[in-house]
Amino acid sequence: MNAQPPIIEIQHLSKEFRIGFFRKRVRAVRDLSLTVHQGEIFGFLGPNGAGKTTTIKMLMGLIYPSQGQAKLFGIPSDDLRAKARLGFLPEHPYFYDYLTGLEFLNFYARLFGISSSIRSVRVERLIEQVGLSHARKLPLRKYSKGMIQRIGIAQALINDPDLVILDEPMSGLDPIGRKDVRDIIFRLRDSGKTVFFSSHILQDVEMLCDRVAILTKGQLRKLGTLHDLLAELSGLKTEITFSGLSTLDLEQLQRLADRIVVPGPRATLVFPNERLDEAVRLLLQKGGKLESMIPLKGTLEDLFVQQVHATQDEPSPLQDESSASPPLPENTQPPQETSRDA
Amino acid sequence: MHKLLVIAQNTFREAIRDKILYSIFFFAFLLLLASLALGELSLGHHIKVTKDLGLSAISFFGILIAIFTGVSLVHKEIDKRTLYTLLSKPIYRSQFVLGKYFGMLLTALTQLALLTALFSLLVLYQQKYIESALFQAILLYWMEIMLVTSIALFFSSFTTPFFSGVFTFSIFVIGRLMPEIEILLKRTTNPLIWLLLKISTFLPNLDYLNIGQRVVHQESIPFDYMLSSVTYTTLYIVLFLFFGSLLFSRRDFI
Repeated sequence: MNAQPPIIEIQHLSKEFRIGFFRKRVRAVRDLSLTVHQGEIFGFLGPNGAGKTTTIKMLMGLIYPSQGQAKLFGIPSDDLRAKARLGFLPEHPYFYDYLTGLEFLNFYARLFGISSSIRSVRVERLIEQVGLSHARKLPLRKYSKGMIQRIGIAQALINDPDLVILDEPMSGLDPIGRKDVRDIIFRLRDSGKTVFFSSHILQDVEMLCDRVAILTKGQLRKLGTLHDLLAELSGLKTEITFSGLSTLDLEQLQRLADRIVVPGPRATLVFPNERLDEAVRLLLQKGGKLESMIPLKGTLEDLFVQQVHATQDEPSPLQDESSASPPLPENTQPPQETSRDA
Repeated sequence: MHKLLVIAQNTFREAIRDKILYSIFFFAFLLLLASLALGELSLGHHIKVTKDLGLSAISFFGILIAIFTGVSLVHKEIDKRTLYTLLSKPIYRSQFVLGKYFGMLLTALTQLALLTALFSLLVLYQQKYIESALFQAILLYWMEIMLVTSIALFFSSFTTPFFSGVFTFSIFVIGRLMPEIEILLKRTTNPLIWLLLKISTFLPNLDYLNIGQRVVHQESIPFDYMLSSVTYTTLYIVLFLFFGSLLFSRRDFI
């Protein structure tokens, strides 16, 4: 168990929408439970339409849950005391484009009741921190997409929050911008803050997160530390380097491979372990020379793709589910959380 | 209260940086100046024409601004998703609705104050004095504008700007035609029409607030009438804002 107090507690959260003329039932999130502890950087992953943004909106009080509850700092998430300690950046943010960067940050600071002396210092510091000092007096309508994302992050930090929730914070940023955001997230963690963010950019998630949750079709599929989740994947694939095969035999062997790392007469191929025996047998049968065999460590991308593929035959949340829900496959049972300390 | 004012101020800032409002204001300004010219053309009645046209311009353009800002500003927050960030801050949704309302009022009343000042100057220029009854008429037009803004805000808390605009304008027209509706109600024999007319009578009677003609024709307006009209309108405003906030508070922002 984690010794840190829970900052986010989501218990059996579900959301159903009624859409269209016939008020069809659509379940966007089903029975979601997870806990995020103080000081964690938590990655919330899932393909488009998985229910990530709906979950985040329920945490923000923008959408009311159909069932279950969400607590922040031990109090209901829509309580103003919780919101006072929270910073939020929505997905694809649009802001008041008639305001200048300075006016924009001052507006939000005033909503938190921050006094004018603290406000002016904090606004200037944040503008500098997100690299927008040169554009502080420009109206937001003149900002580029990346600049909007940066000023959005600044507004999420205006109240010096204990918890920061970022929905796709890397979206629209160039590599330098992404690095800047990563640095901000690390700085937040170093100062004891908790960061919960959703992202499609798995490379950033791998670099940043202590723990991740993978959501597909509104349900939680995986939850745990990156280390433990990836350990589950290790030994699923093996990289083989060999030589001495004719072009025809090589083509036959390539059909069994997952991917080609190095082509040519001295080739390196990656095989899924379930086809490994067959591949080695074929290689030796055809007179090939096996030079090396290396079991591969799984990546977050492998895990993500595996989870998405495993659930692709389930009905999409955007399909009518007014009839009884189909039985869930075995691997869609609520996952057991992997302890950080395990 | 502080947060409400911050939202109101931002709404005001948004409105005054919107070019459309300036064009509405510009036309109102032109109409007031035209009233002076038209007054000169009408033999013997020029001051009446100026007063009549001036009051009508203040009322008409005030209602136009009220409907325009009332139906567009809340929807813009939802459509442009600026609301997502705003509602994640420690504010109640009712504070947002009321903040928007007061911001819209500030916008409408600032423009009306400028038009009223110009109107007063025109009247002073023509007859060298200005009667207080004109300000009584303007005060009730202001009340009407406050009421129409609250109606527009009520509808935009749950429907699209188009429907909000149509519904608000319909209520405005029905409200202005209330004396005619009451006469029809007594005369009609069709039960369905009777029922529709009866339902209409529950809507605010805006004829109470339209005293421009009476003032232009030198009729004096008693204090009791003013007090009861202001109270009557305020009650409707509170009702529309209350239900607007309630509906807005229960809404999912998908």
